[in-house]
Amino acid sequence: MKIQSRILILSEEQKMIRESALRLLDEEFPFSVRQKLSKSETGFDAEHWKLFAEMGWLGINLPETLGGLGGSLVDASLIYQQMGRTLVRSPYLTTLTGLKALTHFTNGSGHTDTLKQVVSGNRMLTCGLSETENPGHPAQTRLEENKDQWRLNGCKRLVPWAGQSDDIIISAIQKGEHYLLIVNANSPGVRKLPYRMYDGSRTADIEFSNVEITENCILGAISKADIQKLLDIETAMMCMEASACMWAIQDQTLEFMKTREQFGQPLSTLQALQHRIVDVYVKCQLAQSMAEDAILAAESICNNSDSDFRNTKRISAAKAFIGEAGRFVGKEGIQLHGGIGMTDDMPIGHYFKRLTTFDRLNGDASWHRRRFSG
Amino acid sequence: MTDFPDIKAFQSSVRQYIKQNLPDELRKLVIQEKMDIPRDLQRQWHRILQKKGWGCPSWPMEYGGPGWNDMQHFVFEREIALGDAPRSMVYGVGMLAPTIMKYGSEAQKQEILPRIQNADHFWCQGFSEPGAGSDLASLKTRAELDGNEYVINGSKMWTSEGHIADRMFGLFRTDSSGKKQYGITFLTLNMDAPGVEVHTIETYDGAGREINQVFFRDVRIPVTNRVGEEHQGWSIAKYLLSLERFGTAEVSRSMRTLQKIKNLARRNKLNDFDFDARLTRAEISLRAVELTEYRMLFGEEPAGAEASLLKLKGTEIQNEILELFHDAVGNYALIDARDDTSVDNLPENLPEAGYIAQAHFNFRKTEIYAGSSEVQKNIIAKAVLGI
Ligand SMILES: Cc1cc2nc3c(=O)[nH]c(=O)nc-3n(C[C@H](O)[C@H](O)[C@H](O)COP(=O)(O)OP(=O)(O)OC[C@H]3O[C@@H](n4cnc5c(N)ncnc54)[C@H](O)[C@@H]3O)c2cc1C
Repeated sequence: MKIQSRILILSEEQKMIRESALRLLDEEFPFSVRQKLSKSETGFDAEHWKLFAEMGWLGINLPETLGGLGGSLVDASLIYQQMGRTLVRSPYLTTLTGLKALTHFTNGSGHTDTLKQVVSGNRMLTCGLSETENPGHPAQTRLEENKDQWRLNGCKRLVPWAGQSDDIIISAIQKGEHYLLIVNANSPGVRKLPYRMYDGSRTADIEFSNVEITENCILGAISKADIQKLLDIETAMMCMEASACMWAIQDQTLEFMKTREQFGQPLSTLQALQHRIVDVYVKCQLAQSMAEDAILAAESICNNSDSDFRNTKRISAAKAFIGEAGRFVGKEGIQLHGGIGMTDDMPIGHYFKRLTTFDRLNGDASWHRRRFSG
Repeated sequence: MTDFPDIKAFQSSVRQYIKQNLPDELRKLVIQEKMDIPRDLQRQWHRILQKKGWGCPSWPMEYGGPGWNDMQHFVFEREIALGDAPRSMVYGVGMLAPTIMKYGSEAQKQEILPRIQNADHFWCQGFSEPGAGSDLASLKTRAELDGNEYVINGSKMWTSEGHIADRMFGLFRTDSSGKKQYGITFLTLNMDAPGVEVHTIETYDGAGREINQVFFRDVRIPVTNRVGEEHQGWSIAKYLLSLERFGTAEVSRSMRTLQKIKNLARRNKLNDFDFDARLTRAEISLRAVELTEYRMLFGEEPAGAEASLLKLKGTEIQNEILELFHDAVGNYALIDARDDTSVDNLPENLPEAGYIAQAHFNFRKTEIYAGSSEVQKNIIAKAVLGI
């Protein structure tokens, strides 16, 4: 089924972004390639990353003066949505968050070189803003001044693709204030504990012990609210991705039901199962609406410097809803496939793993419900 | 348990024995919900139980079983689960043996039962095929009579433990002229017979070797391997499948998982009222299934097809509980336990993260196999409600 935008009104240009993203991702990442990548050492390959850069996807939200396309958050979300649909795992989202963090300060002027290299795909950037399961929980990682020398101590947990990154943007605390820093991932005193994740992506815990920080790497002080904004924008992007995963499950399961025969008839003719796939379809529609609302809320967060808590709530509502709906749809998808749904060779289980991951990251459904009602 | 005065003593002797004799290595694999428990370990445990005469808990005394009543059997299974001991060898001990006792020839009893009892032979179940799952009777894998041999061609799908089994029992098409339930024959065969090929099917959870597709090319087996009459295997299969109905609810395993979650929640989930509410709801639902199982086993009238609801609700709650466990572990549960580096890097206080996601994903299967949830509902609708 084509994803119909109901709340988002897309321009012709945006529709083109979406269609060309889907075309390219379909072509470059057939299921067999994805499977190979997720079992490979790094989880992703440099050639594909170059391609993303050539398409302008990495700099989509950056101004043209910095080598970007000057596109909106919605534009970026349309690309990421298609990555959900095709189940492509890459550092794409964390790179965008990293770039946003970097440009949060005077348009990243002190780091134009890094920015340009990231946008052209020559340097990998990631972002570690949370240390616990509660997104935006105050950082424990400490920035300390000792004899005119800045030192960093602490640990960031499950930082996306940190093992594959050259630079990491992190938050740290100094005298009760939060700062954002950019740290070279290969500096002495940085220790990476890499993880391969069930959904095929990669993360790492990063330990900092007495890491020397030059003045230039301290991007600036940042309020907790601004850190939260960065996370909210990322979460809204994830919602677009997850709702697209749900549609993919819906499509594939429906197709399967039409072709799989038991008792001399296709499964799709059994009313008990028709109702089940209808439930799945309905969840996809509801999730789609929530995701679109979330990305619009995130866009207004991007465009307005003042914080409006209503936007935050819209994003939390979407995250909580899609978190649960996604897991439901994943489980139904597998069940309706029967035994074949359990196999590694069918995409369905892999979508379910991704949706399970989605529900946990950046605050689980329970956390977002609390924030919504609070 | 008031009707069974001695049961407490029995229970504690079982508990004691498990505690003292279950090898650590095995306990660890069971705690981690591992599916691919090595054959040697399974055998070793079976023989440890067999020393007490408990290896084949459901068997009557005349075949060398303990001859327990339902209550003893029930208590035994519970202690096994709560003590983190592995499930008993379901295909040989639990399925084939009772079927042979009922339908097998004297020679088959002599040949097959002692080898199951001593864990010399591991069995697998060749029922499902690519085209025959819920609609099992539509199976097509042929066995053609040629002198005093059957010649088998085709394939069986989803065969659990097919890669470690010595023998298979299965259903084969010997006649396709009549109703699909007619013309099915129950045969046993040697897994290393020429023409048998076993291909592992990887599952999306990466739980290791568990299920297989087994191919047959002109596999010849003696006619004496047939159980019961030719073409009449369907009723034997129905009997065999009915043996699955109680154990598959796995109430005791779920009780054990709940204990583990509570342990973890004490460390990890303080002050999360939402989680607590979910956990409590699951615990109460499990209690409802537990009591119903008890009622159906020991109530005034022994349950027939109604017992389908135990499989239906038992596996549903089992999956709910595993999902809760997964959530209780938190984000580290998302690491891929197939990757040794990832497991090594885990924080020390979270060993559960090394296995829970895999178990959570893998156990979706319990609502699919041994008669899917939908099939159980069909059974209840037809055989119980009469519609
Ligand atoms: C891990 C695992 C281990 C297994 N081990 C074994 C084994 O050792 N030996 C063996 O023989 N088999 C084994 N099986 C096979 C298992 O029994 C089948 O998967 C099961 O019977 C379902 O069949 P299917 O997979 O072909 O699904 P299908 O029958 O194609 O069903 C697909 C979906 O449609 C539903 N459905 C089908 N018909 C109806 C209907 N009439 N009304 C409503 N809903 C319906 C099903 O419930 C399911 O949700 C195993 C399966 C798994 C996943």
